[in-house]
Parts: sequence; C-alpha cells; structure tokens
Amino acid sequence: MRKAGVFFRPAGRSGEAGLAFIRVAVAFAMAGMALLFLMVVAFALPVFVQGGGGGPFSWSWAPGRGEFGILPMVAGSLLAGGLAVVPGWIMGLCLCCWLMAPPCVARPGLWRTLVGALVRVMTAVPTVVYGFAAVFLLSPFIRLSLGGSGFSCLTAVIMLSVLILPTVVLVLQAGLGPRLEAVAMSGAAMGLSRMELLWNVVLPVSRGTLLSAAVLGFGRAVGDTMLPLMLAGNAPVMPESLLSSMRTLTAHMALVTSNEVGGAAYDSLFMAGLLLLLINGCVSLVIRRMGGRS
Amino acid sequence: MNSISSVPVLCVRDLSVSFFDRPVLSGVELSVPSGGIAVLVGRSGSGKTTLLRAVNRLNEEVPGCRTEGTVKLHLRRGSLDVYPGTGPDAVPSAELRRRVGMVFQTPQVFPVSVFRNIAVPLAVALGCPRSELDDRVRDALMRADLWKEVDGRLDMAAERLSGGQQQRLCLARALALEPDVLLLDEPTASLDVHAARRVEDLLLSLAERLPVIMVSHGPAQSLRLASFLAVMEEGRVRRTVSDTSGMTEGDLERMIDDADRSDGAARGQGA
Repeated sequence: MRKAGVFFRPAGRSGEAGLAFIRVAVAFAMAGMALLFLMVVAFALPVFVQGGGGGPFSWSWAPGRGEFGILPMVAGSLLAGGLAVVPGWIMGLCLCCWLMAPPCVARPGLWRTLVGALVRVMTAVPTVVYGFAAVFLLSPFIRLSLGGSGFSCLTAVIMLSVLILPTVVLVLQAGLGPRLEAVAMSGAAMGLSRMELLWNVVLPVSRGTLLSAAVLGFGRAVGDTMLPLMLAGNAPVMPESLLSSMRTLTAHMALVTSNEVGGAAYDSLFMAGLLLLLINGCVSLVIRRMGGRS
Repeated sequence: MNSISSVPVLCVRDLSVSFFDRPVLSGVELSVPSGGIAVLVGRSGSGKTTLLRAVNRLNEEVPGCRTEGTVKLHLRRGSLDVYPGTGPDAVPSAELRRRVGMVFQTPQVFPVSVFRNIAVPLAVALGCPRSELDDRVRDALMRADLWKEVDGRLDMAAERLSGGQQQRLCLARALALEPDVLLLDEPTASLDVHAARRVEDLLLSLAERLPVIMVSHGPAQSLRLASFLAVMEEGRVRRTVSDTSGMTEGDLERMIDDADRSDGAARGQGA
C-alpha cells in the first residue's frame, strides 16, 4: 500500500487524505458489487434447492397452479438479444465506417457531422421514448402489413436493434478510429481512400473491437426492460414465430414485482436475476477470450 | 555526376500554402532538374515537408489547408498538373498519389503481414489481379533490397521487422505501385547509422531509374546523395545548387545559415 503512494500521489498538500478517500471509494464500490451478487445468489439458492415440478427450471409459468417456470423467459431474453444484435451490429458497423471515411477528411460535410451528433444524442434518449414511439408507429405497421397483434418478438427486436445502435457505433469508433488515423496518411499517399483502408487494413486487425461491440450491444439488448415490456406482448411462453408474443426475463421481473411482494412467484425472480447476470457474464467472458487471442 | 536534361521534373511557381490562414510556404519558386536525387535542406519549420507534400497534394489531408500557385510534374509517362489542377493535364488526387510514391520520416507499415502491406495497395489502388500478386510483391521486395531477409516469412507481422527493414518495406510498398517519381521525407531520420547507410545506397541505385526528391536535415547525408540541392528558409526556397561536387559539410552549413540571415538576396547558381 505504501508503494502505491509513491506512484500515485494526488496533488496538493492533502495528498494522503486524497489517497484515503480514493481507497474508501474503491472499497465502497467493490463492496456494493459483492453485496449485489451475494444477495441475488442467497435469495436464488433456496428456489434452486427446492427443485421438483413447478420450480423455476420448467417451461410453464402459472402462479395460480403453483408453476413458476422461467425457462420461456430465459429463451425470450436470449432470442431478443441474439436477434437484435445481428442487425444492430451490422447497421452500427456500416454507420461507423460511413462516419469515419468521408471522401475529403478536411471537410467531413454537413450530413456526417449531423448524423455523428445524432448518434451521440441517441445514447441519452430514455428507452421508454423509443417504446412509446414504437407502440404508435411500428406496432400498427407490423399488425397491418404482417398480421398478428403487432406486439411481437419482431417488434421488440427491431426496436432493440435501434436501441443498441449508438452503443455499437461508439465502441467501434473508439476502437477503429486510432487504428485508422495511424495508417491514414501513408494510405492516402498511395492513393487509397479511408474506406479502402478501413475494409482492407483496419477491420481485419480489429477482431477484438468488433467482438466487444457485439458483446456490449448484446448486453444492452438483453438488459433492457422497457422495450420488451412495451412491445413484445409479454405472453410467458416460447414464441412460435417472430410474429407471436413473448416475454423476456427483464420484462418478467418488472411485471411480477409490480404485482407481488413475497411468495414463490416473487422468489423465483431472484433466479431470473441470477440467470440474467450469468448470461451477460458468460457471453462477455467467452468473447473476451476469443478477442484476446486475435 | 548525373546527367541533367533540359526539362525539369518538378516545376513550382509562386506556391503558397497556409493552414488556418497561417502561412507555411509563401511564393516558392523551384525547378528540379531530372536525373539523380534532389534534396531539400533547411532548418526545422522552414517548410520542407509542406513543399514535399504539395507535390502529391497530401497537405489536403490536413484540415484548414489552402494552396495557391502552380505545381507541375514532368514525368516519363507525361506531365501532371498538380496545382491549380484545372488544366488539360489535371488528374484526380488518388491517381496522382499512385503515380507519385512517398515514404515518410518514421516507417509507417500497416499492422498486417509483410505480404499484405504490399499486396493490399497493389490490389486496391492498382486493381492488380490476384494471380499476379505473388510475383509483384516479390519483385518489389527485391528492388527494395529486403527479399533475402523476409523470404519464407511473408506472413510475419510487418511490425516485427526492425526499423530499417520497416522503412525498406515502406519503400517496397511505394515501388510496387510503379511510381514515376519518389518523394522521401527524411527517410533515415529514425534509423541507426548502418540502417540509414543501407537505405542511402538503395536510394542512389533507385535514382538511376527514377527521379527522387527528398527532404534531409543532415548536411553529410545531403552531400552524399544530392545531385541537386534546394536550401529552404521561412517558407521560401532561398538558394539552389545544381553542382555539389567539391562542396563540404561546412559549405552547406554556412549556406543554410546564410539563408537564415539573408533575405533571399542570394538566388542560387542553378536556378
């Protein structure tokens, strides 16, 4: 601990006090994280141990009959996240390339400046706004053009992919930007445009960045509550098609907590929370391994 | 000494370049004869690099750049109107830069394999068919005197080469595009003495077939390589020398210092 003080000494005469403050803050944050995990695991454990029919690891959610299966919701979350990340990532990559590769670097042009600013603004838009807009615009459109109720897996996936777009773009820009700048001048001197440099030189060596953009996008899509709650229809069953209703873990937790306090249904939520944490943690770990190898 | 034909390879008239209204070059006049290596010398900040980058319009990659005046290249495959770029010989920047090779001060290899460093520009900028890539990459590496060191290791990351090897790879990459003239911006500044000498020898042999214009800040190197010298100061070419035989490092140092003091009164013997 003494040694750390040698390398990191906050400015001013109260350096020691500043250091103590930083340590307390770090300890506080770590303890908070640990408590969160501990609590979720502790509450989920009895539900897990109880087992048997009607437990959380079954395919039927019917509290009236004492069945508290959350597997349909797990499937719903994975489906929503997995389906949303594909168009979200592709759109984000294309948008990012377009933003970073103007024909003339000295004059990026009004459109690029505007769209770039819009993407940053999008990160600050509350998801309920997207949800509200989709309830009145996207949902009727799907109902009229494709059939069904309009509140479906597809509706939620489309809006989730829009939701994760700025996350993907910003992660990609932060990762690809410096690499592109490093080769931009020498590439330009050979008559290569920035777009050609991106596709042929930068992207092939940026697997880690491309993967982490996908992971963060997936995490954001799986973790979002408002859009699936407002748009997916919330039937606690496996969706039969893209146009049928489904429920995600997050929406499930929001719905149950608003109606129940205590009881088996309430307890099963802790298992849902734990699964949500595990899904994101696993995907993040797996992809970090893959990215680390590149 | 190299023979000097009558038509200059580079012709610069009243060239002014500014960045965000801060002038870097003002009223540059320069005729570079063909044959041998032309060297631009001068103190730091005298505008050598900006003048070099005006020749392939690379200044335009920097925001706030404004260029006025005329720059013309007379190359073996015809003339190129660089600035103002409106005449019958005008070319798009991408094509101009393919025909005017450039190597930078620090080796700027791409973070990919040795092979792809040369193959990507060949395939993308020249549209070279895949079947010819192997031969042309090997040919370029041979001309840059690097083939023996990388033969059998073409898949190795270019960043793992030594500094001197990286710089020769950059040279190979430029040569692969079959340029009509080569621009070099202090190509040996980041290399040790031996690596620098090796690049110098290479440049002398290249200059027999290709006009070379380079920036150098070492008087010794300038005298070793130059068949034509242009001394720059405060954004102008103060003096040119077209016969460097018998010149010593001291002479060149004095010339650069004189350019520092005089206000362009002395125009060169060769201009």
